Amino acid sequence: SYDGGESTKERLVSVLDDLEVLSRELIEMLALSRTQKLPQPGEDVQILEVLVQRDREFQELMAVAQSQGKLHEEMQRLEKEVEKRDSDIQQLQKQLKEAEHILATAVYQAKEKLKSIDKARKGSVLSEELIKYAHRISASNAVCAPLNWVPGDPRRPYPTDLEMRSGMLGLMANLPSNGVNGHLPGDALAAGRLPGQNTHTHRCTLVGRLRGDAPSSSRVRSGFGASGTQQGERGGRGKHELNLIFILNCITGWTTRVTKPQLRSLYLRFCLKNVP
Amino acid sequence: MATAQTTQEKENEDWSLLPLVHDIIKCMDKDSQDVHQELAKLKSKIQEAREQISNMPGIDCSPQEQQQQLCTLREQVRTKNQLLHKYKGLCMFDVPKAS
Repeated sequence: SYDGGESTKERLVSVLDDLEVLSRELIEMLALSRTQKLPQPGEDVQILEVLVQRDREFQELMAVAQSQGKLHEEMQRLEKEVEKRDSDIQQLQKQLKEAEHILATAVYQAKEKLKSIDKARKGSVLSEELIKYAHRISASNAVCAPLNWVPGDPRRPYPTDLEMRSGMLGLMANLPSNGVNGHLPGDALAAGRLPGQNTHTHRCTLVGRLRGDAPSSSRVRSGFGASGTQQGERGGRGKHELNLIFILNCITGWTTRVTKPQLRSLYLRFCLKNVP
Repeated sequence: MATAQTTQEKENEDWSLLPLVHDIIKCMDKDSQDVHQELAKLKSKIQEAREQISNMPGIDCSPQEQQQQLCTLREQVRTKNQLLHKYKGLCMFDVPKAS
């Protein structure tokens, strides 16, 4: 009878051991019976019957073992297939993860863009005003000092103390808007940079309006920093461009929203309007 | 069919020890000196069978256990094929190359 828990190898070895013992016993018994001339009918027949039974069992088990060998080959083939599928699935999983990451980033950026668009719509500014303002400050040494500037020359580059104090940083620090460090509000007028009080008021109003959209002071700071690095450039075209960039920086965060081609377009429009 | 049956019988005969035992008994009956040679043959046949058993692949488990393992493997392959088919049927993404 077959015991399901025992492996085929164990059963084969066991049956082979039985065969070996039984055949030896049979041969020894026959040899003994011949030397002693003692007939032992029955016992040798019993051994022979068990031997035949075990031999048949051994052959059956060998057939089973051979079929198991074939199944083993099939299992090895399936195992290789499983490994290959696992590798494919892992590859696909990796690609899906990458796609998820890209989509998540795209969604985040799109949301940020929508927020920016919304903010821009709420505080829209006419490009004409920007161009006018750029022209005004570039025409009065507002961005960079004149080439022949020396200490003591009241024509200082933009921003003056007055303008700094009227901006968001000044308001945050609660600084007085005039009479500090010897720079009076009249400095700007005296330097001829502001064509008149009306213009100054208009500019302050415009800048104030634009700055009112500022989401944070850090952006204001970054705007000034960006303009500061660009003050080294001089010259007509570069100057106008710098003025535009400076204004946009002052508007806080516009550098992230206004692309370079848009800026160039604004500049070209400005140039076309100012052709003599 | 007949050829397969013959092959099967041959295989069965190959692993039977009875012919060798029979030869030994015959030699003993005849008081032949070949009995030692026949005994050596039987011993070497048993040894050969032991080596064959130790080298046979896939017999470390019972046939039932092997069938279960085979079924599990087939099921795994089937499931993984379905999964792959499902993944490949999803929308494809063009992953941009990192520049």
